[in-house]
Amino acid sequence: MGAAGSRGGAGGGAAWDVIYDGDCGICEATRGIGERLDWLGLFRWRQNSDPGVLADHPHLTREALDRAIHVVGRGRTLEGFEAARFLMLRWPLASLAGLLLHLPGMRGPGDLAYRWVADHRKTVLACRIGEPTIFHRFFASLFIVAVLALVAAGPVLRLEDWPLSCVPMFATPVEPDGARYSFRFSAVDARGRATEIPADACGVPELRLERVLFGRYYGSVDPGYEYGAFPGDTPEAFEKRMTEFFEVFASAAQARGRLPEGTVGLRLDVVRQARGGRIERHPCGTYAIGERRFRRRP
Amino acid sequence: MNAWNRFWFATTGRHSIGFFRVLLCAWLCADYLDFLPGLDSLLGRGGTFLAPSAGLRAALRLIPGTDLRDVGEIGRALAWVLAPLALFGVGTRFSLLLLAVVNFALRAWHSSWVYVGHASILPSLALFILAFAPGVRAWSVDALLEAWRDRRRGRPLLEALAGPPAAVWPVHLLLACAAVLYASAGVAKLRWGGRDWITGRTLQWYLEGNAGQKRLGDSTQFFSARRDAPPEARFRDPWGLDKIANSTMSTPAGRAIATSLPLCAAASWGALLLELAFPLVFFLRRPAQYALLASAALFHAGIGALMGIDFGGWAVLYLVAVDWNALLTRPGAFLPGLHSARAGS
Repeated sequence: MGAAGSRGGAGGGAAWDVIYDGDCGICEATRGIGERLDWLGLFRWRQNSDPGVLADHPHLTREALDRAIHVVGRGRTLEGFEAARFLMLRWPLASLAGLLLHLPGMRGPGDLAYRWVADHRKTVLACRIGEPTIFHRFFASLFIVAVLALVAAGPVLRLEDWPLSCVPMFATPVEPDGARYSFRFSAVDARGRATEIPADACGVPELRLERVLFGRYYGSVDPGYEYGAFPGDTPEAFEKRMTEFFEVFASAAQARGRLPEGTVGLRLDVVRQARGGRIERHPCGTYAIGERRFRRRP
Repeated sequence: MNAWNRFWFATTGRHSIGFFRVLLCAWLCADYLDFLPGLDSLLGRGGTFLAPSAGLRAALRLIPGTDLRDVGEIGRALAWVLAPLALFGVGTRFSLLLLAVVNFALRAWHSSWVYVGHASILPSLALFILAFAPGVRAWSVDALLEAWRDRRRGRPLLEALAGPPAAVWPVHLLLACAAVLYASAGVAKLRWGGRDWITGRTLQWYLEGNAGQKRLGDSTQFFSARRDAPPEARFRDPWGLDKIANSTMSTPAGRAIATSLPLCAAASWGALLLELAFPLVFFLRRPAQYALLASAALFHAGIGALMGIDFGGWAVLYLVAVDWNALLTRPGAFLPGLHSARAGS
């Protein structure tokens, strides 16, 4: 356990040999961390299966090396908890923790804790190289369950815009005549000249603008639909929302020079495939820019 | 418990999550060449119509004094740097974790208000999973430097680069996420599309769509209506506008298929069967597993050809099942079973 005789020493320029279980995940991870923290270059890490270890340190036995980590050099041999705190004291970033572990009263609990981990590293902790430890399994299990729950939340809760899943994905009922509806915008200037204006006149791509228009302002007839559900909606509330939409739309389009003073009209077009692609148009209403008001077309 | 452990935590040297990291990040870098410059049309405009998702705004409120658009620009600049770092494996885990967060934030911005870029969902999730995956540092600059430091141990360079065997859970989790997404999409088609999907009518309707000019996923937006809606609900228009249709880009191949309802029905059935059968990937024998994964990749290639939607990132994900370590070190022995394990823990 503690300091032993003065046989053996480290080579390769390092003052100490650190001999660890090369088939143990925790030990291998400790080596990785230890090598990074060893700014003073004091330690040389060697696997206990390295045939040269016993030759260089004949006072050690295979059984002892299997039992605990050893630090050997400068006439001293430390093992287990004592070796661990010895290492930490000499790693600049961990030296404070190493110092605390050297306080009186730390040796007993430290030895017990080290002994438990070392004795169970290949059973309860199951940390043969590459095999996940019990801690890994626990936290990875939490991660797995969390990821699957987040992914499944969209479909289970019917959240169509849930950013971690994708339903209903083209599960759209189709009307018998294959009707498809889309919004169109037009402007009527002060002289009464009407022109079509593209939906992206306000700088927002058409697909997004029309989705926003429908989902946040226009509204669906289905009060349970995720986008555009306005339970108890009324024509007055509808006009108020559409006024809010056009205030933003018109000011952005005018700032881009895409909209003259006058009115903006919103139209709903429907293309009916079964009738040779015939287009029907329904004017939904107009927004008077000067008056800042949207009026629904009954 | 044992079954849980066997399924998720069997260790295997026969999957190579590190090399998969390279493939996914290479795809991401290629995707960014289009995606990140395309954000110009969103990042410059903030405002009512393009505010990012509520979750992202709430997160940004935790950092006082930040302007939403500045954060977007910073995120984009970070993405340009982090994607190659994660690809080459420099500070691998940190780069991946930060890239996953930045990528998710930018995609959430892109998916602002009533729009979700479904094609990027699974690759974005994969970044998060990779960031925590054991073995992800394999085939990285980090691993190369470590191998250089360890050269006195006499380990062959390729073996050092490939890393030790690792738990198989990242591979299974990625495929499990895909299974949930596919199965739920299949169920949704039956539940909401119903008979229209089975007969091929829905698919035909989509394939017939008139395309707009594609820019940043933009196209003409269509809606559907419910004519049996009560009259008092139809005060906005006479047809009872009901739902937002998914957006597609019409292609010549898609329009050609759309002329035949039987062809559309066959394609609809094929899509439905694949989506509902995908969870079987964990229970099939090896050749059938690979046939299913190849079918899924072909499925997405078909979507690209017929509907103009790029699901290439999903197809890339199936490369996670290939044993790249073996392919690189032992050509000819690279087809692993998804459950192949060194230790039956």
